[in-house]
Amino acid sequence: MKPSIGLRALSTAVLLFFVFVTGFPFLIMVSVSLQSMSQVYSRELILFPSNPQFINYKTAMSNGNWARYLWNSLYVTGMATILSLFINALTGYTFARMRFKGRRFLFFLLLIGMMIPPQVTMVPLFSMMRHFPLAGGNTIFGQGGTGLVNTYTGLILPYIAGSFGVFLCRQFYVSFPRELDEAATIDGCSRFGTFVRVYLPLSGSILASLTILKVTGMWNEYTWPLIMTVASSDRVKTVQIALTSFRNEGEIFWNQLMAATLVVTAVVGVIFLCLQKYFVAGIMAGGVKE
Amino acid sequence: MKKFVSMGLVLVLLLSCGAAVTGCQKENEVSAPANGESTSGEKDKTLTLVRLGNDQGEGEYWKALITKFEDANPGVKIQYDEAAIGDAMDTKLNTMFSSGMGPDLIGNGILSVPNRVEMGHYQPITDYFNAWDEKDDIMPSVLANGTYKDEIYGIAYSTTPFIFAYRKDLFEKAGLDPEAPPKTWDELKEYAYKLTEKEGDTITTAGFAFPMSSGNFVEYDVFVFGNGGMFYDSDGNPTLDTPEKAEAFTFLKSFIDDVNIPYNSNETHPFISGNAAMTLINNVALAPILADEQYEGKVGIAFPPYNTAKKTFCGCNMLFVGRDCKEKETAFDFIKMALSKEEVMKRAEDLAIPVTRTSCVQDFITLDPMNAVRAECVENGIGMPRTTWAPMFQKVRNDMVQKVLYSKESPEEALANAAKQLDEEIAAAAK
Repeated sequence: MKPSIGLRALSTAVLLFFVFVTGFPFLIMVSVSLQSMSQVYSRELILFPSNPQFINYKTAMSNGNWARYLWNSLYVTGMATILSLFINALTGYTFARMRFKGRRFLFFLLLIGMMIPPQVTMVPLFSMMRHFPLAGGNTIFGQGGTGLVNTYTGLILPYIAGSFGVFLCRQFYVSFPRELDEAATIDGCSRFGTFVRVYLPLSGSILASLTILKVTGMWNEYTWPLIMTVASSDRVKTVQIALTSFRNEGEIFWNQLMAATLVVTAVVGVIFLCLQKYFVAGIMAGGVKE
Repeated sequence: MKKFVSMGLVLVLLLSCGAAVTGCQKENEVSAPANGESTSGEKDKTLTLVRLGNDQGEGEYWKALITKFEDANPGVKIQYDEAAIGDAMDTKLNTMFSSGMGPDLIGNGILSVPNRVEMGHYQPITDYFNAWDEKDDIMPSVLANGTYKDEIYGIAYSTTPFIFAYRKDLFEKAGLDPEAPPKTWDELKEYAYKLTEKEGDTITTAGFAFPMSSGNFVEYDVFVFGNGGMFYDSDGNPTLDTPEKAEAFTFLKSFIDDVNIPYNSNETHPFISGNAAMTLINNVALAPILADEQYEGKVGIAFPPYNTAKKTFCGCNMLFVGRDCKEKETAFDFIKMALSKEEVMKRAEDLAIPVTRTSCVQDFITLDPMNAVRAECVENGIGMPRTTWAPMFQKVRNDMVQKVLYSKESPEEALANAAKQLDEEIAAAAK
């Protein structure tokens, strides 16, 4: 039965309302990024500035080495996402399909890991990174240097594993029919071969979901880069840390901050638009796995 | 999909190699090995400095100062780091100290003094300070901010006084002398009424702008200090419920509703947006209107009007020596360089930071006549309470001021309740 015109109009109105609610802050962000500071300080709400200040983008991007910050964020996000997806999927597969002693206990430990807030593990993690043997001038006993502080590895390493991702993958693979493993074994596949040739190709939906979660999480990560990077060097500084530099003790340069934020947001937006078809394809493939 | 997976695996391999290389290489850019040897054959010393604030201008200044110090002290390296104003600094410092790797030098604010001293994060530098031949030139009000339980822990390199700002053009319009801003509370009230502009019942220009909420309501503190009040006694106990504070409230409530455009401290300040004739404002926050061409020559500053005591609020950032510092003497050498006359004046010229040394005041005034007011405010400035309960006080005081401003409680009720609440919170924290 076709919905009536009234019902369609109502649903369109509701959708438009939500589009407005979610889109309005973004519109404000674009507007402020094009305003002068006196317009920002004005008590009137200016949505469409009469004399758009595109120079704000140039000024914002010249406040530091933004090409480097963007590359650093892309590298750290890309690396952590790819590695963590592989490790999560492999570990999830192991828990779902392999029988070994202590499997349940290990999985239980993993679930406990999900319940520990990251703030609690920050200090020991930082200590481990700082005392990482043979890195950053450290001796084999992890003394004498800076370890993995201010390195890509230090930023990425704690994020390549993750209880949540392993848990999701394990639950996903548990629902696979055992006949798949048997068929792969008959065809001469090893355990790892079965995972790579059979399970991974059928994991599009779960990997696509995890990718979105991981990319947004990593791109927006602030606290870990804050303690792991050193401000005197732009070498591994990420965009989220760089965004905090648009303020001093008495003033926030909102127009430049919004311009830089838009650039940072646009990069992720463009990446997602480019990769959208892969995500959709992955989800579709996962949906018809039987 | 197969192709996608293979490409992913190749990418993982390539990126892993990249990360391994960057992870294991030596951090030449940011640190030197602590036990390296300098060309003179002496062991290299590497100190770390973490500073509160990460705006580019000040960051560049500190990097240049570090280079200068390293050139003057061969074999000494300083690894510079900074954190944004807000929680970032505490997050960074807490992590570093908890891991036993606290920085050697720390640039931080007044509120950090009591708690970090009690936690053992800051080392006393009293002996080094007393042995410094230029110690008497540091302004006593500035030195007081880094003193806790008779020991000096930090010395200020930057100050942010609260000053009185007013619009000269609006003074003229109201028939007031633009070169004679109010000096007393009574004059402030009188001028505020004269300067307030209304359209019907709506105030379009505030005679005196005062915030209705704030993350740190120091605007109220300015009135308390100006009335001879303090928030703690000589033993460090809170003294919230005293007549000076009640009088400050009574005075504010006697006129503020008639002359103010209500705003919160996280909103645009009405004075900056051109909608107020007078206000109390942080020296740094005033910068935009002073730089704005349309207000050129129209803005004046003065010492805040006071009742019985010529005092105002003045915050500051100081240099501290951290708990884990093994090279205390070298660290204090850096502090001495940062606080030298030359550097104090350089910060005043390049970053418009008020001077902290008495002998620099005249040179500071030569840079800009307005600096006379700024220096006066620093010399007569009082900071946040240097007590472990200061963060609790901040919260309780903010709530109390809001309740009075919104007429939820009378000044007497609000002060009594706030004093009780603060005592209870201090007792609970002590348990």
